[in-house]
Amino acid sequence: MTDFVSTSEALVQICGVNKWFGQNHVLTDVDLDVNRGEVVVVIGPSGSGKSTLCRCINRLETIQSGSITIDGVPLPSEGKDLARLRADVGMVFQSFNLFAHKTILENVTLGPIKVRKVSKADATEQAMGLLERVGIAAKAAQYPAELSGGQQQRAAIARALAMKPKVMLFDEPTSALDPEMVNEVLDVMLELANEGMTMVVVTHEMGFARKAAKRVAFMDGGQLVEVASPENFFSAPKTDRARAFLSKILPH
Amino acid sequence: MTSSVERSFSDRLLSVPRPKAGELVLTEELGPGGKRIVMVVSLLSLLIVAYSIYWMYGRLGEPTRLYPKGQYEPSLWAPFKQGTTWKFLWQGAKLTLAAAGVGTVFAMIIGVLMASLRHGGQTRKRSYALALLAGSIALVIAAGVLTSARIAALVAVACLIIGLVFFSRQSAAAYTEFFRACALVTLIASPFRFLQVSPFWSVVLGLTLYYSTTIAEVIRSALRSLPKGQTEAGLAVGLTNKQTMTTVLLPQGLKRALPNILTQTASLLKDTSLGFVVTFRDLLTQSQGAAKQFDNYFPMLLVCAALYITLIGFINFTATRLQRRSR
Repeated sequence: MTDFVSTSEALVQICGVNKWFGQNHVLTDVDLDVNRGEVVVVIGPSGSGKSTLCRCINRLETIQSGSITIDGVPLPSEGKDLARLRADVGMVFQSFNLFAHKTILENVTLGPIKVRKVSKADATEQAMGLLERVGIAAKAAQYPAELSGGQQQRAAIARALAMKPKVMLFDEPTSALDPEMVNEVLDVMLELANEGMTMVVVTHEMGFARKAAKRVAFMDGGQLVEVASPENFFSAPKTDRARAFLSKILPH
Repeated sequence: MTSSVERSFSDRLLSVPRPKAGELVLTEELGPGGKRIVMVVSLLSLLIVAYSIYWMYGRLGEPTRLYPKGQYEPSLWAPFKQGTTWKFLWQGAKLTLAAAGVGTVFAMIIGVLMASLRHGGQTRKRSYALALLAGSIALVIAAGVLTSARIAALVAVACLIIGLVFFSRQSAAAYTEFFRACALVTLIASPFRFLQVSPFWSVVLGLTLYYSTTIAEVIRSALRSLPKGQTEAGLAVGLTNKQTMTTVLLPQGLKRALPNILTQTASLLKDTSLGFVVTFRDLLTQSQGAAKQFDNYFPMLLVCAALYITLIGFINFTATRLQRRSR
Protein backbone atom coordinates (compact mmCIF):
# COMPACT_ATOMS: atom_id res chain seq x y z
CA MET A 1 0.00 0.00 0.00
CA THR A 2 1.04 3.60 -0.45
CA ASP A 3 2.88 5.21 2.42
CA PHE A 4 0.85 7.54 4.56
CA VAL A 5 2.80 10.68 5.20
CA SER A 6 3.01 11.30 8.90
CA THR A 7 2.93 14.93 9.87
CA SER A 8 1.21 16.43 12.85
CA GLU A 9 -1.13 18.58 10.76
CA ALA A 10 -4.86 18.04 11.39
CA LEU A 11 -6.52 16.05 8.63
CA VAL A 12 -10.02 16.10 10.09
CA GLN A 13 -11.07 19.21 11.99
CA ILE A 14 -14.34 19.13 13.86
CA CYS A 15 -15.17 22.54 15.27
CA GLY A 16 -18.10 23.51 17.50
CA VAL A 17 -20.45 20.96 15.96
CA ASN A 18 -24.09 20.84 17.05
CA LYS A 19 -26.75 18.49 15.81
CA TRP A 20 -30.37 17.94 16.65
CA PHE A 21 -32.71 15.10 15.72
CA GLY A 22 -35.94 17.07 16.12
CA GLN A 23 -35.95 18.20 19.75
CA ASN A 24 -33.17 15.80 20.65
CA HIS A 25 -29.80 17.53 20.98
CA VAL A 26 -27.49 14.68 19.91
CA LEU A 27 -24.20 16.56 19.49
CA THR A 28 -23.29 19.53 21.69
CA ASP A 29 -20.32 21.75 20.82
CA VAL A 30 -18.06 18.94 19.74
CA ASP A 31 -14.44 19.90 18.96
CA LEU A 32 -12.00 17.26 17.79
CA ASP A 33 -8.94 17.27 15.54
CA VAL A 34 -7.62 14.10 13.97
CA ASN A 35 -4.05 14.41 12.79
CA ARG A 36 -2.57 12.73 9.77
CA GLY A 37 -1.65 9.13 10.51
CA GLU A 38 -3.39 9.23 13.86
CA VAL A 39 -5.87 6.67 15.18
CA VAL A 40 -8.62 8.17 17.33
CA VAL A 41 -10.94 5.72 19.06
CA VAL A 42 -14.31 7.11 20.11
CA ILE A 43 -15.96 5.33 23.00
CA GLY A 44 -18.97 5.97 25.18
CA PRO A 45 -22.30 4.55 26.27
CA SER A 46 -25.10 3.78 23.77
CA GLY A 47 -26.85 6.91 22.56
CA SER A 48 -23.93 9.16 23.41
CA GLY A 49 -23.71 10.41 19.82
CA LYS A 50 -20.48 8.69 18.82
CA SER A 51 -21.94 6.97 15.76
CA THR A 52 -23.67 10.18 14.75
CA LEU A 53 -20.39 12.08 15.02
CA CYS A 54 -18.71 9.46 12.84
CA ARG A 55 -21.46 9.69 10.22
CA CYS A 56 -21.25 13.49 10.23
CA ILE A 57 -17.63 13.37 9.08
CA ASN A 58 -18.65 12.19 5.60
CA ARG A 59 -21.97 13.97 5.78
CA LEU A 60 -24.22 10.92 5.91
CA GLU A 61 -25.71 13.05 8.68
CA THR A 62 -25.94 16.81 8.36
CA ILE A 63 -24.97 19.19 11.14
CA GLN A 64 -26.88 22.27 12.19
CA SER A 65 -23.97 24.41 13.33
CA GLY A 66 -20.18 24.31 13.54
CA SER A 67 -17.82 23.16 10.84
CA ILE A 68 -16.06 20.02 9.69
CA THR A 69 -13.08 20.26 7.36
CA ILE A 70 -11.14 17.44 5.80
CA ASP A 71 -7.62 18.14 4.59
CA GLY A 72 -8.34 21.85 4.89
CA VAL A 73 -11.51 21.70 2.79
CA PRO A 74 -14.90 22.30 4.44
CA LEU A 75 -17.46 19.56 3.77
CA PRO A 76 -19.31 20.44 0.55
CA SER A 77 -23.07 20.41 1.02
CA GLU A 78 -24.18 18.63 -2.16
CA GLY A 79 -23.53 17.34 -5.64
CA LYS A 80 -20.31 16.22 -7.30
CA ASP A 81 -18.07 17.96 -4.76
CA LEU A 82 -19.63 16.04 -1.91
CA ALA A 83 -19.30 12.75 -3.82
CA ARG A 84 -15.63 13.55 -4.49
CA LEU A 85 -15.01 14.22 -0.82
CA ARG A 86 -16.74 11.00 0.22
CA ALA A 87 -14.51 9.11 -2.21
CA ASP A 88 -11.54 10.28 -0.12
CA VAL A 89 -13.14 9.17 3.13
CA GLY A 90 -13.46 5.43 3.60
CA MET A 91 -16.37 4.22 5.69
CA VAL A 92 -16.99 0.86 7.33
CA PHE A 93 -20.47 0.25 8.72
CA GLN A 94 -21.74 -1.80 11.62
CA SER A 95 -23.93 -3.88 9.30
CA PHE A 96 -21.29 -4.20 6.52
CA ASN A 97 -23.67 -2.90 3.81
CA LEU A 98 -21.96 -4.75 1.00
CA PHE A 99 -23.82 -4.40 -2.30
CA ALA A 100 -25.99 -7.49 -2.15
CA HIS A 101 -26.31 -7.99 -5.92
CA LYS A 102 -22.58 -7.84 -6.64
CA THR A 103 -19.81 -10.32 -5.97
CA ILE A 104 -17.13 -9.51 -3.41
CA LEU A 105 -14.73 -8.58 -6.21
CA GLU A 106 -17.33 -6.33 -7.87
CA ASN A 107 -18.02 -4.71 -4.51
CA VAL A 108 -14.37 -3.72 -4.26
CA THR A 109 -13.92 -2.63 -7.89
CA LEU A 110 -17.16 -0.67 -8.19
CA GLY A 111 -15.84 2.53 -6.59
CA PRO A 112 -12.51 2.69 -8.45
CA ILE A 113 -14.21 2.00 -11.79
CA LYS A 114 -17.21 4.31 -11.41
CA VAL A 115 -15.68 7.10 -9.34
CA ARG A 116 -11.94 7.04 -10.01
CA LYS A 117 -12.40 5.92 -13.64
CA VAL A 118 -9.75 3.22 -13.26
CA SER A 119 -9.75 0.57 -15.99
CA LYS A 120 -11.46 -2.69 -15.12
CA ALA A 121 -8.24 -4.68 -15.38
CA ASP A 122 -6.32 -2.36 -13.06
CA ALA A 123 -9.20 -2.20 -10.60
CA THR A 124 -9.44 -5.99 -10.52
CA GLU A 125 -5.73 -6.37 -9.95
CA GLN A 126 -5.76 -3.85 -7.11
CA ALA A 127 -8.90 -5.41 -5.63
CA MET A 128 -7.40 -8.90 -5.63
CA GLY A 129 -4.35 -7.49 -3.83
CA LEU A 130 -6.57 -5.94 -1.17
CA LEU A 131 -8.69 -9.07 -0.79
CA GLU A 132 -5.46 -11.03 -0.41
CA ARG A 133 -4.41 -8.64 2.30
CA VAL A 134 -7.62 -9.01 4.30
CA GLY A 135 -7.46 -12.77 3.74
CA ILE A 136 -10.54 -13.43 1.61
CA ALA A 137 -9.14 -13.60 -1.93
CA ALA A 138 -10.66 -17.08 -2.25
CA LYS A 139 -14.12 -15.59 -1.81
CA ALA A 140 -13.77 -13.00 -4.60
CA ALA A 141 -16.35 -14.59 -6.89
CA GLN A 142 -18.95 -15.17 -4.18
CA TYR A 143 -21.89 -13.01 -3.15
CA PRO A 144 -21.98 -11.24 0.24
CA ALA A 145 -24.78 -13.45 1.57
CA GLU A 146 -22.52 -16.50 1.14
CA LEU A 147 -19.87 -15.10 3.51
CA SER A 148 -19.66 -15.05 7.29
CA GLY A 149 -20.03 -11.75 9.08
CA GLY A 150 -16.32 -11.44 9.71
CA GLN A 151 -15.53 -12.11 6.07
CA GLN A 152 -18.15 -9.60 4.95
CA GLN A 153 -16.70 -6.94 7.22
CA ARG A 154 -13.19 -7.59 5.91
CA ALA A 155 -14.57 -7.30 2.36
CA ALA A 156 -16.15 -3.99 3.38
CA ILE A 157 -12.78 -2.77 4.64
CA ALA A 158 -11.19 -3.80 1.33
CA ARG A 159 -13.95 -1.93 -0.52
CA ALA A 160 -13.19 1.23 1.44
CA LEU A 161 -9.41 0.86 0.99
CA ALA A 162 -9.80 0.44 -2.77
CA MET A 163 -10.61 4.14 -2.99
CA LYS A 164 -7.20 4.97 -1.47
CA PRO A 165 -8.87 7.11 1.18
CA LYS A 166 -7.17 9.84 3.20
CA VAL A 167 -9.01 8.78 6.33
CA MET A 168 -11.02 5.73 7.32
CA LEU A 169 -14.14 5.88 9.48
CA PHE A 170 -15.22 2.77 11.36
CA ASP A 171 -18.75 2.89 12.77
CA GLU A 172 -18.88 0.06 15.34
CA PRO A 173 -17.32 -2.40 12.88
CA THR A 174 -17.46 -5.40 15.21
CA SER A 175 -20.77 -4.83 17.00
CA ALA A 176 -22.78 -7.04 14.64
CA LEU A 177 -20.28 -9.90 14.65
CA ASP A 178 -20.30 -13.23 16.42
CA PRO A 179 -17.63 -13.19 19.15
CA GLU A 180 -15.29 -15.58 17.35
CA MET A 181 -15.18 -13.29 14.32
CA VAL A 182 -14.36 -10.07 16.12
CA ASN A 183 -10.63 -10.64 16.19
CA GLU A 184 -10.18 -11.36 12.48
CA VAL A 185 -11.64 -7.89 11.78
CA LEU A 186 -9.71 -6.17 14.57
CA ASP A 187 -6.48 -7.73 13.29
CA VAL A 188 -7.03 -6.18 9.87
CA MET A 189 -7.74 -2.82 11.49
CA LEU A 190 -4.70 -3.06 13.73
CA GLU A 191 -2.51 -3.81 10.74
CA LEU A 192 -3.98 -0.79 8.98
CA ALA A 193 -3.29 1.39 12.00
CA ASN A 194 0.31 0.21 12.15
CA GLU A 195 0.79 1.16 8.52
CA GLY A 196 -0.06 4.74 9.41
CA MET A 197 -3.62 5.03 8.12
CA THR A 198 -5.58 7.91 9.65
CA MET A 199 -8.54 6.34 11.39
CA VAL A 200 -11.58 7.33 13.42
CA VAL A 201 -12.95 4.25 15.13
CA VAL A 202 -16.22 4.10 17.04
CA THR A 203 -16.13 0.89 19.03
CA HIS A 204 -16.88 -0.95 22.24
CA GLU A 205 -13.64 -2.94 21.96
CA MET A 206 -11.49 -1.53 24.76
CA GLY A 207 -8.67 -3.92 23.91
CA PHE A 208 -8.44 -2.40 20.45
CA ALA A 209 -8.52 1.10 21.93
CA ARG A 210 -5.57 0.24 24.20
CA LYS A 211 -3.54 -1.35 21.44
CA ALA A 212 -4.22 0.85 18.43
CA ALA A 213 -5.39 4.24 19.59
CA LYS A 214 -3.12 7.24 19.73
CA ARG A 215 -5.91 9.05 21.53
CA VAL A 216 -9.18 7.96 23.06
CA ALA A 217 -12.18 10.27 22.83
CA PHE A 218 -14.88 9.65 25.41
CA MET A 219 -18.41 10.84 24.59
CA ASP A 220 -21.45 10.99 26.81
CA GLY A 221 -24.83 12.64 26.24
CA GLY A 222 -23.74 14.21 22.96
CA GLN A 223 -20.68 15.87 24.46
CA LEU A 224 -17.04 15.09 24.02
CA VAL A 225 -16.19 14.68 27.67
CA GLU A 226 -12.55 13.68 27.63
CA VAL A 227 -9.75 13.18 25.11
CA ALA A 228 -6.59 11.47 26.33
CA SER A 229 -3.96 8.91 25.46
CA PRO A 230 -5.20 5.36 26.10
CA GLU A 231 -2.75 4.84 29.00
CA ASN A 232 -3.96 7.95 30.79
CA PHE A 233 -7.59 7.41 29.98
CA PHE A 234 -7.85 3.82 31.14
CA SER A 235 -5.63 4.13 34.21
CA ALA A 236 -6.46 7.65 35.35
CA PRO A 237 -9.62 9.07 33.80
CA LYS A 238 -10.00 12.75 34.69
CA THR A 239 -13.76 13.09 34.66
CA ASP A 240 -16.38 11.43 36.84
CA ARG A 241 -18.45 10.39 33.85
CA ALA A 242 -15.50 8.55 32.27
CA ARG A 243 -14.75 6.88 35.60
CA ALA A 244 -18.36 5.76 35.94
CA PHE A 245 -18.36 4.40 32.39
CA LEU A 246 -15.09 2.54 32.83
CA SER A 247 -16.14 1.03 36.13
CA LYS A 248 -19.12 -0.54 34.36
CA ILE A 249 -17.24 -2.10 31.48
CA LEU A 250 -13.80 -2.98 32.77
CA PRO A 251 -13.21 -6.26 34.58
CA HIS A 252 -12.51 -5.83 38.32
CA MET B 1 -37.07 -46.75 7.44
CA THR B 2 -39.89 -49.20 6.71
CA SER B 3 -42.49 -46.80 8.01
CA SER B 4 -41.64 -44.28 5.30
CA VAL B 5 -42.22 -46.93 2.63
CA GLU B 6 -45.60 -48.01 3.92
CA ARG B 7 -47.20 -44.61 3.91
CA SER B 8 -50.92 -44.46 3.32
CA PHE B 9 -52.38 -42.89 0.19
CA SER B 10 -53.60 -39.84 2.09
CA ASP B 11 -50.16 -39.39 3.66
CA ARG B 12 -48.52 -39.30 0.27
CA LEU B 13 -51.18 -36.97 -1.09
CA LEU B 14 -50.77 -34.47 1.70
CA SER B 15 -47.04 -34.66 2.34
CA VAL B 16 -45.29 -31.32 2.25
CA PRO B 17 -42.23 -31.30 0.01
CA ARG B 18 -39.08 -31.20 2.10
CA PRO B 19 -37.71 -27.63 1.98
CA LYS B 20 -34.34 -27.06 0.38
CA ALA B 21 -31.58 -25.62 2.52
CA GLY B 22 -32.13 -21.96 3.20
CA GLU B 23 -35.65 -21.97 1.81
CA LEU B 24 -38.22 -20.09 3.84
CA VAL B 25 -41.03 -22.38 4.90
CA LEU B 26 -44.35 -20.90 5.93
CA THR B 27 -46.28 -24.16 6.06
CA GLU B 28 -45.47 -26.60 8.78
CA GLU B 29 -45.81 -30.28 8.14
CA LEU B 30 -49.35 -31.23 9.11
CA GLY B 31 -50.24 -33.24 12.18
CA PRO B 32 -52.91 -35.98 12.09
CA GLY B 33 -55.75 -33.55 12.92
CA GLY B 34 -54.66 -31.07 10.28
CA LYS B 35 -54.39 -33.82 7.69
CA ARG B 36 -57.93 -34.94 8.36
CA ILE B 37 -59.25 -31.39 7.97
CA VAL B 38 -57.32 -30.80 4.74
CA MET B 39 -58.52 -34.13 3.35
CA VAL B 40 -62.19 -33.40 4.08
CA VAL B 41 -62.03 -29.83 2.76
CA SER B 42 -60.18 -30.94 -0.38
CA LEU B 43 -62.75 -33.63 -1.14
CA LEU B 44 -65.63 -31.24 -0.53
CA SER B 45 -64.21 -28.58 -2.83
CA LEU B 46 -63.46 -31.19 -5.47
CA LEU B 47 -67.11 -32.26 -5.34
CA ILE B 48 -68.31 -28.65 -5.60
CA VAL B 49 -66.07 -27.93 -8.58
CA ALA B 50 -67.04 -31.16 -10.32
CA TYR B 51 -70.74 -30.48 -9.82
CA SER B 52 -70.38 -26.87 -11.08
CA ILE B 53 -68.73 -28.05 -14.26
CA TYR B 54 -71.36 -30.72 -14.74
CA TRP B 55 -74.13 -28.16 -14.18
CA MET B 56 -72.61 -25.61 -16.55
CA TYR B 57 -72.06 -28.24 -19.19
CA GLY B 58 -75.71 -29.28 -19.00
CA ARG B 59 -76.95 -25.69 -18.89
CA LEU B 60 -75.05 -24.72 -22.05
CA GLY B 61 -76.64 -27.63 -23.93
CA GLU B 62 -80.16 -26.49 -23.05
CA PRO B 63 -82.11 -24.67 -25.75
CA THR B 64 -82.64 -20.92 -25.35
CA ARG B 65 -84.76 -18.43 -27.27
CA LEU B 66 -81.86 -17.30 -29.45
CA TYR B 67 -80.16 -20.70 -29.72
CA PRO B 68 -82.92 -23.36 -29.88
CA LYS B 69 -80.39 -26.17 -30.20
CA GLY B 70 -78.08 -25.07 -27.36
CA GLN B 71 -74.45 -24.04 -27.56
CA TYR B 72 -73.14 -27.41 -28.74
CA GLU B 73 -74.85 -27.05 -32.12
CA PRO B 74 -72.02 -28.00 -34.57
CA SER B 75 -72.75 -25.07 -36.86
CA LEU B 76 -71.74 -22.69 -34.05
CA TRP B 77 -68.30 -24.29 -33.86
CA ALA B 78 -67.83 -24.89 -37.57
CA PRO B 79 -66.12 -21.51 -38.20
CA PHE B 80 -63.16 -22.70 -36.15
CA LYS B 81 -62.50 -25.38 -38.74
CA GLN B 82 -61.83 -22.68 -41.34
CA GLY B 83 -58.38 -21.17 -41.67
CA THR B 84 -59.86 -17.77 -42.54
CA THR B 85 -61.44 -17.45 -39.08
CA TRP B 86 -58.12 -18.02 -37.40
CA LYS B 87 -56.41 -15.65 -39.81
CA PHE B 88 -58.97 -13.01 -38.93
CA LEU B 89 -58.39 -13.56 -35.20
CA TRP B 90 -54.63 -13.59 -35.70
CA GLN B 91 -54.80 -10.13 -37.28
CA GLY B 92 -56.38 -8.91 -34.06
CA ALA B 93 -53.92 -10.84 -31.88
CA LYS B 94 -51.01 -9.27 -33.78
CA LEU B 95 -52.28 -5.76 -33.05
CA THR B 96 -52.96 -6.69 -29.43
CA LEU B 97 -49.42 -8.00 -29.05
CA ALA B 98 -47.90 -5.02 -30.86
CA ALA B 99 -49.77 -2.43 -28.79
CA ALA B 100 -49.06 -4.32 -25.56
CA GLY B 101 -45.39 -4.77 -26.48
CA VAL B 102 -44.75 -1.14 -27.38
CA GLY B 103 -46.86 0.02 -24.44
CA THR B 104 -44.92 -2.18 -22.01
CA VAL B 105 -41.55 -0.89 -23.23
CA PHE B 106 -42.61 2.76 -22.95
CA ALA B 107 -44.37 2.21 -19.62
CA MET B 108 -41.27 0.50 -18.23
CA ILE B 109 -38.92 3.28 -19.35
CA ILE B 110 -41.12 6.05 -17.93
CA GLY B 111 -42.00 3.95 -14.88
CA VAL B 112 -38.35 3.37 -13.96
CA LEU B 113 -37.59 7.06 -14.51
CA MET B 114 -40.50 8.26 -12.38
CA ALA B 115 -39.80 5.77 -9.59
CA SER B 116 -36.11 6.74 -9.46
CA LEU B 117 -36.86 10.44 -9.46
CA ARG B 118 -39.58 10.16 -6.85
CA HIS B 119 -37.42 7.96 -4.63
CA GLY B 120 -34.10 9.71 -4.95
CA GLY B 121 -34.62 12.94 -6.85
CA GLN B 122 -34.03 16.35 -5.44
CA THR B 123 -36.79 18.09 -3.63
CA ARG B 124 -37.27 21.80 -3.29
CA LYS B 125 -39.58 24.21 -1.54
CA ARG B 126 -43.18 23.11 -1.75
CA SER B 127 -44.42 26.59 -2.53
CA TYR B 128 -42.16 26.88 -5.59
CA ALA B 129 -43.33 23.48 -6.86
CA LEU B 130 -46.96 24.46 -6.41
CA ALA B 131 -46.34 27.75 -8.20
CA LEU B 132 -44.79 25.87 -11.11
CA LEU B 133 -47.72 23.45 -11.15
CA ALA B 134 -50.29 26.26 -11.16
CA GLY B 135 -48.34 28.13 -13.85
CA SER B 136 -48.14 25.01 -15.98
CA ILE B 137 -51.86 24.32 -15.72
CA ALA B 138 -52.68 27.94 -16.64
CA LEU B 139 -50.26 27.82 -19.56
CA VAL B 140 -51.70 24.55 -20.89
CA ILE B 141 -55.28 25.81 -20.62
CA ALA B 142 -54.32 29.06 -22.32
CA ALA B 143 -52.59 27.14 -25.11
CA GLY B 144 -55.65 24.93 -25.49
CA VAL B 145 -58.05 27.87 -25.70
CA LEU B 146 -55.93 30.13 -27.89
CA THR B 147 -54.36 27.60 -30.23
CA SER B 148 -54.96 23.89 -30.75
CA ALA B 149 -55.13 20.82 -28.55
CA ARG B 150 -51.90 19.56 -30.11
CA ILE B 151 -49.97 22.64 -29.05
CA ALA B 152 -51.51 22.43 -25.59
CA ALA B 153 -50.28 18.84 -25.32
CA LEU B 154 -46.78 19.91 -26.40
CA VAL B 155 -46.82 22.69 -23.80
CA ALA B 156 -47.88 20.14 -21.16
CA VAL B 157 -45.00 17.84 -22.09
CA ALA B 158 -42.55 20.76 -22.01
CA CYS B 159 -43.82 21.83 -18.56
CA LEU B 160 -43.47 18.26 -17.30
CA ILE B 161 -39.88 18.04 -18.53
CA ILE B 162 -38.97 21.38 -16.96
CA GLY B 163 -40.61 20.23 -13.75
CA LEU B 164 -38.73 16.92 -13.78
CA VAL B 165 -35.42 18.72 -14.23
CA PHE B 166 -35.86 21.27 -11.47
CA PHE B 167 -38.33 19.62 -9.08
CA SER B 168 -37.66 15.94 -9.76
CA ARG B 169 -39.35 14.44 -6.78
CA GLN B 170 -42.45 16.59 -6.72
CA SER B 171 -42.97 16.46 -10.49
CA ALA B 172 -42.62 12.68 -10.59
CA ALA B 173 -45.12 12.46 -7.73
CA ALA B 174 -47.54 14.79 -9.53
CA TYR B 175 -47.26 12.81 -12.77
CA THR B 176 -47.78 9.51 -11.00
CA GLU B 177 -50.68 10.60 -8.85
CA PHE B 178 -52.43 12.35 -11.74
CA PHE B 179 -52.30 9.63 -14.38
CA ARG B 180 -52.92 6.86 -11.88
CA ALA B 181 -56.18 8.58 -10.98
CA CYS B 182 -57.30 8.91 -14.63
CA ALA B 183 -59.63 6.32 -16.12
CA LEU B 184 -57.75 4.27 -18.68
CA VAL B 185 -60.56 4.60 -21.24
CA THR B 186 -60.27 8.39 -21.05
CA LEU B 187 -56.52 8.24 -21.55
CA ILE B 188 -56.98 6.05 -24.63
CA ALA B 189 -59.84 8.06 -26.08
CA SER B 190 -58.37 11.54 -25.55
CA PRO B 191 -55.44 11.37 -27.99
CA PHE B 192 -57.77 9.95 -30.64
CA ARG B 193 -60.47 12.54 -30.10
CA PHE B 194 -58.47 15.67 -29.45
CA LEU B 195 -55.09 15.13 -31.07
CA GLN B 196 -56.11 13.12 -34.14
CA VAL B 197 -53.70 10.34 -33.21
CA SER B 198 -54.18 6.98 -34.98
CA PRO B 199 -56.08 4.23 -33.10
CA PHE B 200 -52.93 2.17 -32.55
CA TRP B 201 -50.90 5.03 -31.09
CA SER B 202 -53.86 6.25 -29.03
CA VAL B 203 -54.02 2.84 -27.38
CA VAL B 204 -50.24 2.80 -26.87
CA LEU B 205 -50.27 6.34 -25.47
CA GLY B 206 -53.14 5.63 -23.08
CA LEU B 207 -51.61 2.38 -21.85
CA THR B 208 -48.21 4.04 -21.46
CA LEU B 209 -49.53 6.95 -19.43
CA TYR B 210 -51.56 4.74 -17.12
CA TYR B 211 -49.26 1.77 -16.69
CA SER B 212 -46.11 3.88 -16.32
CA THR B 213 -47.66 5.11 -13.06
CA THR B 214 -48.58 1.69 -11.70
CA ILE B 215 -45.17 0.31 -12.68
CA ALA B 216 -43.52 3.37 -11.12
CA GLU B 217 -45.33 2.71 -7.84
CA VAL B 218 -44.43 -0.97 -7.89
CA ILE B 219 -40.76 -0.13 -8.44
CA ARG B 220 -40.80 2.65 -5.87
CA SER B 221 -42.13 0.32 -3.21
CA ALA B 222 -39.38 -2.16 -4.11
CA LEU B 223 -36.78 0.59 -3.80
CA ARG B 224 -38.18 1.56 -0.41
CA SER B 225 -37.92 -2.03 0.74
CA LEU B 226 -34.14 -2.07 0.22
CA PRO B 227 -32.03 -1.59 3.37
CA LYS B 228 -30.99 2.03 3.87
CA GLY B 229 -27.41 0.83 4.25
CA GLN B 230 -27.22 0.07 0.53
CA THR B 231 -27.74 3.75 -0.30
CA GLU B 232 -25.32 4.85 2.41
CA ALA B 233 -22.65 2.43 1.24
CA GLY B 234 -23.01 3.68 -2.33
CA LEU B 235 -22.70 7.30 -1.25
CA ALA B 236 -19.82 6.53 1.12
CA VAL B 237 -17.84 4.96 -1.72
CA GLY B 238 -18.16 8.27 -3.55
CA LEU B 239 -20.95 7.48 -6.00
CA THR B 240 -23.23 10.40 -6.85
CA ASN B 241 -26.93 10.14 -6.10
CA LYS B 242 -27.61 9.22 -9.71
CA GLN B 243 -24.88 6.56 -9.76
CA THR B 244 -26.12 5.10 -6.47
CA MET B 245 -29.57 4.82 -8.02
CA THR B 246 -28.45 3.22 -11.27
CA THR B 247 -25.73 0.89 -10.02
CA VAL B 248 -26.86 -0.05 -6.51
CA LEU B 249 -30.58 0.53 -5.97
CA LEU B 250 -32.26 -0.08 -9.34
CA PRO B 251 -30.65 -3.46 -10.09
CA GLN B 252 -31.81 -4.78 -6.73
CA GLY B 253 -35.14 -2.99 -6.78
CA LEU B 254 -36.11 -4.18 -10.28
CA LYS B 255 -35.37 -7.75 -9.26
CA ARG B 256 -37.67 -7.42 -6.27
CA ALA B 257 -40.34 -5.67 -8.32
CA LEU B 258 -40.33 -8.17 -11.19
CA PRO B 259 -43.26 -10.35 -10.06
CA ASN B 260 -45.45 -7.27 -9.62
CA ILE B 261 -44.27 -5.78 -12.91
CA LEU B 262 -45.34 -9.01 -14.62
CA THR B 263 -48.79 -8.67 -13.08
CA GLN B 264 -49.00 -5.16 -14.48
CA THR B 265 -47.83 -6.36 -17.90
CA ALA B 266 -50.48 -9.06 -18.04
CA SER B 267 -53.08 -6.51 -17.01
CA LEU B 268 -51.79 -4.12 -19.69
CA LEU B 269 -52.15 -6.78 -22.35
CA LYS B 270 -55.77 -7.42 -21.40
CA ASP B 271 -56.50 -3.70 -21.32
CA THR B 272 -55.60 -3.34 -25.00
CA SER B 273 -59.19 -4.53 -25.46
CA LEU B 274 -60.33 -1.07 -24.30
CA GLY B 275 -59.06 0.05 -27.71
CA PHE B 276 -62.58 -0.60 -29.04
CA VAL B 277 -63.44 2.99 -28.02
CA VAL B 278 -61.04 4.27 -30.69
CA THR B 279 -61.93 1.63 -33.32
CA PHE B 280 -58.72 -0.28 -32.58
CA ARG B 281 -59.11 -3.72 -34.18
CA ASP B 282 -57.53 -5.83 -31.45
CA LEU B 283 -58.18 -9.48 -30.69
CA LEU B 284 -61.42 -8.91 -28.80
CA THR B 285 -62.84 -6.49 -31.39
CA GLN B 286 -61.97 -8.90 -34.20
CA SER B 287 -63.51 -11.83 -32.39
CA GLN B 288 -66.72 -9.89 -31.78
CA GLY B 289 -66.80 -8.90 -35.43
CA ALA B 290 -66.49 -12.54 -36.41
CA ALA B 291 -69.07 -13.60 -33.83
CA LYS B 292 -71.57 -11.15 -35.29
CA GLN B 293 -71.11 -12.74 -38.70
CA PHE B 294 -71.33 -16.37 -37.54
CA ASP B 295 -73.82 -15.66 -34.74
CA ASN B 296 -71.70 -17.69 -32.30
CA TYR B 297 -70.96 -15.22 -29.48
CA PHE B 298 -70.38 -17.78 -26.77
CA PRO B 299 -67.97 -20.10 -28.62
CA MET B 300 -66.10 -17.06 -29.91
CA LEU B 301 -65.72 -15.57 -26.43
CA LEU B 302 -64.57 -18.91 -25.08
CA VAL B 303 -61.89 -19.23 -27.77
CA CYS B 304 -60.91 -15.60 -27.23
CA ALA B 305 -60.48 -16.17 -23.48
CA ALA B 306 -58.30 -19.18 -24.22
CA LEU B 307 -56.17 -17.05 -26.57
CA TYR B 308 -55.71 -14.31 -23.95
CA ILE B 309 -54.76 -16.87 -21.34
CA THR B 310 -52.27 -18.42 -23.76
CA LEU B 311 -50.69 -15.05 -24.57
CA ILE B 312 -50.30 -14.10 -20.90
CA GLY B 313 -49.08 -17.57 -20.02
CA PHE B 314 -46.47 -17.23 -22.74
CA ILE B 315 -45.30 -13.87 -21.35
CA ASN B 316 -45.06 -15.24 -17.81
CA PHE B 317 -43.23 -18.32 -19.00
CA THR B 318 -40.64 -16.30 -20.92
CA ALA B 319 -40.16 -13.85 -18.08
CA THR B 320 -39.65 -16.60 -15.54
CA ARG B 321 -37.11 -18.25 -17.80
CA LEU B 322 -35.28 -14.97 -18.30
CA GLN B 323 -35.24 -14.30 -14.58
CA ARG B 324 -33.89 -17.74 -13.81
CA ARG B 325 -31.14 -17.36 -16.39
CA SER B 326 -30.11 -13.94 -15.09
CA ARG B 327 -29.49 -15.35 -11.63
